Amino acid sequence: MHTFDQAWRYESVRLQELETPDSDDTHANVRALECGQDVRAQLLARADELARVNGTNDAQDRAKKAMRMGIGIFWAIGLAIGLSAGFASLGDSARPVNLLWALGSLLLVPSLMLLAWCVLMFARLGTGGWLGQWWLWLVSRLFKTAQAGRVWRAWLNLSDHANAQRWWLALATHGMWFTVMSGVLLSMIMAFSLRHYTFVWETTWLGEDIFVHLAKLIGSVPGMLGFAVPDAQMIRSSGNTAVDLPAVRMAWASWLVGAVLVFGWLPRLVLLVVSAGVLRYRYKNYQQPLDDAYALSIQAKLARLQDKHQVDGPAGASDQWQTLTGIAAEQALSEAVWLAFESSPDAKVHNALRASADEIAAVDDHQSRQAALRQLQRLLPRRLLIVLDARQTPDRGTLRAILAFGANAVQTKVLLINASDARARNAAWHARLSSCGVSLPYEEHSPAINWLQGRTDGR
Amino acid sequence: MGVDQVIRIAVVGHTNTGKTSLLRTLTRNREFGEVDDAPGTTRHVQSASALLDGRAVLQWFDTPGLEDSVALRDWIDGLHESGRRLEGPDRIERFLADQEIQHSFEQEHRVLAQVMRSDAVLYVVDCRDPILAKHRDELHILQSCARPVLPVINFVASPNADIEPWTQTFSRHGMHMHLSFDTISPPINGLQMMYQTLGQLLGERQSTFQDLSRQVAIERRKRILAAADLLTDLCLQAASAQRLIKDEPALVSVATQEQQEDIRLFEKAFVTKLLNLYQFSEDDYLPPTQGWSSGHWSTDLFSKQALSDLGIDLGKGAAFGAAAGATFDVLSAGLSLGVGTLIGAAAGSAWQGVDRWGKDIKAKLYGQRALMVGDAILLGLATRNVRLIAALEQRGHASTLPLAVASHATQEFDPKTLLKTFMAARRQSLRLKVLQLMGAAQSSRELHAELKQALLGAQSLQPLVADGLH
Repeated sequence: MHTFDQAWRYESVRLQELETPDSDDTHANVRALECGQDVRAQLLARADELARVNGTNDAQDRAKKAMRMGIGIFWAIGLAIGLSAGFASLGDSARPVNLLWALGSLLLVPSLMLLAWCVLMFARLGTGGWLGQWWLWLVSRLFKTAQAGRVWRAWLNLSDHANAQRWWLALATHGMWFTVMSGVLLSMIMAFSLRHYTFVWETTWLGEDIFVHLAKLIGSVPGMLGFAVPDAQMIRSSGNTAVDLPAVRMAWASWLVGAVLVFGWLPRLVLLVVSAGVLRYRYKNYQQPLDDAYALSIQAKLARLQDKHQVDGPAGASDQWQTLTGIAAEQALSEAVWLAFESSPDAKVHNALRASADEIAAVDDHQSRQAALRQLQRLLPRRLLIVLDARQTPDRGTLRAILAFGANAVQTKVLLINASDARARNAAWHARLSSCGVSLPYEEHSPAINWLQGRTDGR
Repeated sequence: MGVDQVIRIAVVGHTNTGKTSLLRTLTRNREFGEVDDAPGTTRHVQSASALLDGRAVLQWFDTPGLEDSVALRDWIDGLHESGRRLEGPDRIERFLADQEIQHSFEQEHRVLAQVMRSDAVLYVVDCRDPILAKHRDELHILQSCARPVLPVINFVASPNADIEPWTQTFSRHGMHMHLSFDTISPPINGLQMMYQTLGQLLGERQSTFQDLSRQVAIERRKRILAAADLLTDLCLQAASAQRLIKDEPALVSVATQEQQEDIRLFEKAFVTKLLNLYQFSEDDYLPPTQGWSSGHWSTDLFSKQALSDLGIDLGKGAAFGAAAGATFDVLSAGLSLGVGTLIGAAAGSAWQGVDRWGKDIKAKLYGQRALMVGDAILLGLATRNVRLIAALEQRGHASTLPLAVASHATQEFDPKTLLKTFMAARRQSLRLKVLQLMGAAQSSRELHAELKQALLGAQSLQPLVADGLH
């Protein structure tokens, strides 16, 4: 059963991966991606590859061997039980065989068990889950290594998922009884071939007719298969004392073998075949769940691996900045100028700045940048303060503008407003400003104003 | 654009507005690109695919940030050609072809080249920022590229978010559709909304976007059901864990410790599987918040405080047990209250609870009793992990913040249903397994289904399963 093996393998690998989530699966993932877009095929191929590498296949082979050995032992035991039961019920041929007693002792227990099985099976009581528990207990004692235990657990899980547990139970039961009944038949054939038996039915107070009807009734179905059914005369004459005529003897032996075959052996054979058929069907139609947590995680992993994340080329070099170079001190034409770049200081700061230095109108777009630049080229101040918003990201455009403005002043400094805001990106500003030679920015306005007014020379 | 062709979408925006974060969230991939709160973190164009039935149908392109749009616009607007007026795309083509200017605008060149190769553009803005000339220039340049643009307003969940001015600006640039999307805590159906809006923008590919959107919904549903499956397994595992011990205080104490350790290991394994399912990893998280650290729960479930934080009143728990017709066993209470209480309670009427489990055949034979996990602990286990599922479900893959698991002392479930299934789960592990064969007990599969349903009914999961798919 190829599909069964594969499903079993998948389940074993699944259990293994859940136990040790970090095992190496690189190669298996590649194999999975090679087999196209079908998710199920991908998962199965991946499991196959992992099973090959991590010893699951060997464990599975060992498990199968153990299973076969177990079946062999069961067969041998069943056969032995059948043989001994057969011989015991026929006796040692010293006394004639009591036909109905023999039949009863051979068929009563198997028939009752068959009935019990039918009731359990078709009344749909229980799930056969206890078989699994019992099996697991047995297995945990038989197979000590984790790998072997896992393979058996996988087998159990699989039979549970495939709704096959009760059919495994059926297979085991009917297989066992089939070997027992085979043993019985074998013992009968051997006994009838090598020993001399005579047959009777016995009664104290029942009439002969009852036995005639009973014998005909029991023999009717085997009769259809070619087994002999004694005629009324033979039946009547076999009552209480045996008739040792070859024809009668052979007719009764054939009747007995036929009855055991049809009522004991055949039903088990049929049910054995049916169980095997149902199992085969269940596993053939079994689909691995693709929606459980394990399968979804693997699918996501494969999808990520599949995505190549192409890039358009090597990453661009990090930005190279010119260093700010101002004008010489003697070129300066005015004292102090300030401007707000892409920022709007609050009224208090604004007024304080306005009171201490010349103001250039707020700078934002291209036109205002050009205007500010022209004004600076005219003013050529000694000290230029650029007010920036610390919450903004220091981008290339801003840096370029600062360099352009600073080129028209002797000294240029930066005031970061909103520097204590949670979103302030002070570190980024410091890094970028220092990379183009602008000194550490002010984060409070008063020292900046002191500097603008010429009371301090910076830091 | 042919119907079979891969749809290409460029994600552009000013530097440091969360373009890479957006892609991490959209592709549920924590490892995509590089993310940092600094300008110019992404320095090349990188693609990520969206698969439909295993086939890549859409490619996202993460681009470097635009940093100098004011100067670039100035350069582009200054382009002239004698005799005719240059249209927007012509100007962009001229820019892309000009070797000299490329050097000054290396990043912008890469971005615009990608835009011209794409079918549509997501323009990402940080709505906490004021609108400046550079943003308007970026919009102007993008308009010149003559590609459909969908503005994506990021960080809408922030308290500083100011969306209104942005939407007005977009309208003024002829962009009347936009999408609010927080990459850190994305809307539950955010990706679906994204696909639907893109479907409207790229009308001829609407059916592909519809399929993608449907697939996203189905995947989300599968994920939450798989998560509920995992949690159901955990609860059943914990409920049916039992330890047979001789009824002596010293032995009970040791066994209680071991039992608690088992439960912790079960929970840890569950969390690992859950993180895997949601494509998060164990070492993604910063210092502990709400009893969560380095990928697992750090608060001990077996403490009175932890349980009361989860809204489980131990006194009430016992009462619920009684109401559900379940006997609350002292040994299990011992697990939650400590052995001292166990010994104290032993004198009380509650011994009946122990008796219940003491009647196990094996226990009778060997003078043993079964030690099992108490109802309150099981409720606690279910509660905090259902909240973990809810938190992961709503967490963006760009988030670097600690995982925030809801912590409020309200009841997640109607405890009756849960306690009933826990009781049944306990029976599963006892001799009643045999009765099951006779049709006396529920099958484990029925039990699993019942508990899963109850867990999905949790308060925290309601907004996540309310899309009618469940």
